[in-house]
Amino acid sequence: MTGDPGERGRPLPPIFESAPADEVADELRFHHDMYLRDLIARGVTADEARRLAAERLVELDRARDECHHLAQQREHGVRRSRHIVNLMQDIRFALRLLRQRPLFAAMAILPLALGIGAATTMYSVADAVLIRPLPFPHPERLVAIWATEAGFRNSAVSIAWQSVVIGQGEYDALRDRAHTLSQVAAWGNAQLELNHDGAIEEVAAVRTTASLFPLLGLHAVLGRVFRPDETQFGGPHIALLGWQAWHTTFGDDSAIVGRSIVIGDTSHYTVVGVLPPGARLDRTADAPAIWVPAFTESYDVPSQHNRSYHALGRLAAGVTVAQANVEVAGIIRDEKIGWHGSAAGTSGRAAIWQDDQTATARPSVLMLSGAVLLLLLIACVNVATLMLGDAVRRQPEMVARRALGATPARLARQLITESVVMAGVGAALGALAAWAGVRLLVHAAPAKIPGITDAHVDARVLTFTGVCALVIGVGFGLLPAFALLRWGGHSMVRIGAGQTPRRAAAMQRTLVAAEVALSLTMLVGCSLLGKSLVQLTSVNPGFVANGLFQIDMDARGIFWGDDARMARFYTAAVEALHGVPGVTAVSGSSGGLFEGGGNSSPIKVEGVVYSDSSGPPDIQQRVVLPDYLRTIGVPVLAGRDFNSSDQIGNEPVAILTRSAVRRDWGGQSPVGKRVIWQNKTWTVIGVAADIRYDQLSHDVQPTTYIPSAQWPGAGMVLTFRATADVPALEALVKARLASLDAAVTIQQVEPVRSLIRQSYAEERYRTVLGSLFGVLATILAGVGIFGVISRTVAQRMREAGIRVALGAQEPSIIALMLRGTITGALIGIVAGLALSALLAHLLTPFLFGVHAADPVAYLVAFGLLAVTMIVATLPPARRAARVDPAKILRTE
Amino acid sequence: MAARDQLRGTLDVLILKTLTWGPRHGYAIAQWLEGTSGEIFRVEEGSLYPALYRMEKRGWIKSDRRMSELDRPAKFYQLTASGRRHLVAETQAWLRFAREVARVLQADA
Repeated sequence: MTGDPGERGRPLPPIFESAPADEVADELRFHHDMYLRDLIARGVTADEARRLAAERLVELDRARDECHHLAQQREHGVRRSRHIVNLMQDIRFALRLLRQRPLFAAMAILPLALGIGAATTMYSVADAVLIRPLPFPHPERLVAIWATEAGFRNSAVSIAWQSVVIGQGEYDALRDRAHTLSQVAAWGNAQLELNHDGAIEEVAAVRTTASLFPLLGLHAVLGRVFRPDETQFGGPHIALLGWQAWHTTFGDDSAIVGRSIVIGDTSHYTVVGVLPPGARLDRTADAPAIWVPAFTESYDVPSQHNRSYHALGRLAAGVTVAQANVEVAGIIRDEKIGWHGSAAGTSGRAAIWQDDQTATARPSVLMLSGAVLLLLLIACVNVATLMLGDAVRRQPEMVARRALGATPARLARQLITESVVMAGVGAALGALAAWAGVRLLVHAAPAKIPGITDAHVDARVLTFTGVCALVIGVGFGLLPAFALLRWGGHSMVRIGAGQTPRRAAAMQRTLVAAEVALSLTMLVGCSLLGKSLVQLTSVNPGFVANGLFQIDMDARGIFWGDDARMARFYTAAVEALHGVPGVTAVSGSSGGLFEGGGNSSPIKVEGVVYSDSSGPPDIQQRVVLPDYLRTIGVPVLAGRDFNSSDQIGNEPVAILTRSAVRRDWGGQSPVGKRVIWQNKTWTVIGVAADIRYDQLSHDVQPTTYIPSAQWPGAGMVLTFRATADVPALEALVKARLASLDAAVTIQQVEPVRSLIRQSYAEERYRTVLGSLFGVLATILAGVGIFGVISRTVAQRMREAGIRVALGAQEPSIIALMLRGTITGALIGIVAGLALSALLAHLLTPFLFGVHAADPVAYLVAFGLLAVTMIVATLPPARRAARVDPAKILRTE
Repeated sequence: MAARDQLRGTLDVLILKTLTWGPRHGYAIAQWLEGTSGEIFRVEEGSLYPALYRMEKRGWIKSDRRMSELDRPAKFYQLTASGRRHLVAETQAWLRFAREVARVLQADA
């Protein structure tokens, strides 16, 4: 007995359209029908049975939605797992294909690994230096505050005239008057002599106002931070410990709070707390070991105009940096007028802290990132060329598979999977390379790049790598998929012996052009940077650096306070050094060579009246021990050098450099004339040649030399000249100087040549990295073009054979093989030159003594490219020319 | 909530049990449950079918379409390997539970 056919055939309501709904409805209907059948079989009347069954159906209906829902979920699950199974199949297939053709795989994967590896490396650096926000709450609201001294701009005394430190006067004014800033703090770097159980160690320290801690949201992990009334003149001797110092020096002693530590020989500081790990302000240095209150010393009081503090502010709600900038400028100007009577070139500025920190490093990082992007682009073009060539090769396979019923979507998916798998393998290798690359980059980095030591490959960076791989993989899967679907429409007839469709040839030509253009651009950039570095390193510093050594020494506070003790030490040290074998000259100066920094003050030519607004010009001052100029190899151009009669009590004498004479004396000889410097009158006895102290790229700075005998109390950097290689020189020097003064420690003996090298470490770093990327890019391009030619040759071997048989000469065969590539390369060269012209001026800030349009640099780049092209194209082309026609004709 | 889960779990086990003798459709399962348990487990169809769908989603049972007594295809369920494992585990748990309860109830003071 069956159920009511009328009911069974009834169309389902529209809500049950989808498949799971049908399934549920069908099943419940079946249940109803069975029940009805059973009721009737048991003898229930038809009407009664139908009523009971309908009742049952109502009950069943209540479950309908839940079942429907569960069925849908099940369907999703099934579909997903079916997708996964398909995907795994595709991936396995792709891997098998790659394994079958290891050369193809390597040619595709290695460039990608290189490109992605370089990009990942550079990204992790850029992320650490520029992108990652500072580890404080709302870091985008933190501003660095500086005074600016327009007067420094042209004097070359301070290169950083826009970032001049401030003093307590400015800080107080900013704190009291700035409405655009909700909080202001002042801090400064310091070196303190931590005396731990009698062992004195110089440690990095920070002086700071109490306001810094709430401003940065820094809390002590142990104890407390400073209170506002503690960071002022006469404040208590208290200190906070940095986490690392607490850990290493104080052994995580939690009872340290309340105890006292000794700074120098006698100063006791009570520890009030310990700061959390990573608490630091200067990202180019290690975290400070000790934090002490600012403004506690007598030299800090505003009337002393001691300016050695950095300032930080937090923008008030709704205020922009521009608004804060204007207000800060006004406040710092007013402060200067308050004590000086006029602002005279002084102003101030505020800038987002992180931007301000990275202002000097940013261009380098961006430039290198640009280079890496070009490299990645070349790697991509390389792979694109390869994939396209492969697409042509696989055309028969694809057409056959389509004829056998594979849908275009299925084929496209397979191609995309293949290329994503390839990109994935490339990215994995790239990430490994980046892991090593970042370490290398950080290790080799010059000290001035803030935050670079934090660079490492982490989840953020790997996400970047993954996205790179995915974009590249999908892109390169689409390319051949697109090409194949287009050509795939053609009949099988066209699939001859590996004919290259016209379209593919044109596309390959374009890709060759792109590779040539990009690598030429990279090479132009590299040779510009390279030439710039050569120019820079060939600058004559003005003294003879070869064989010159400088002694890096530390001395404790008690040494610096005692003029007689210092003089005794220097005299004894000079004498002791003379006793070292091989040492030919010994002296010292208040400013070391290529150690950074300088010391300047105003100088007046006697009898000249200076206007109020500009005042007398600044001059670099160097207090020198006897024989200094001769020791470092600077000639005295006019007059005489200092001699033993230039003592205190005799006429004060000075030597000026030629640039000072040119500036202040209009080039006339100043010998015998007098200058006023440091409120004293000095007779000029000589003119010395100029030297560079700090950077080879800087202009020479007007300088005056003063004999130490007439200016006691200046700290000296000892310097000496030694012949050739003195074995164990450092040890000998240390031994000689060790016992002269208990407060002095000799750190190291540094060859001045290596100090000069360090001064352009950043330029070298930049140039070496840039060149590395450039060379890699060119090699990639070469390999890519080699691949194109090889394929062309392989495909046209038969044609070459026929031509050879008909008597064609080698050059004409080579020309035939290279024709497309040469066209592409020529287009590429033109495009590359245009691109270089467009991009090279971006390098201008990094160039020294080279114009961005330097023809030599362009020529060198062009030459390198030409060599690469010849090496990449000639061997395969000649192979075609030397084919044995008989062999070729027989094989087909 | 716990009580409901317990109940639902019981129904699941009973359904799995009915399927140990071979594939059958939902109606047959309901019939068997009523017949065997003598009305104690008067299963409401309102909870039978959700239970079937839930277990199918979990992979304890699977379904296909077979010709039914009504001469038309109907959905038949059968045990999967994981469903069989689940049934064994649940059965043992039940028996252990019952033994424990019995032991407690029969214990002398």
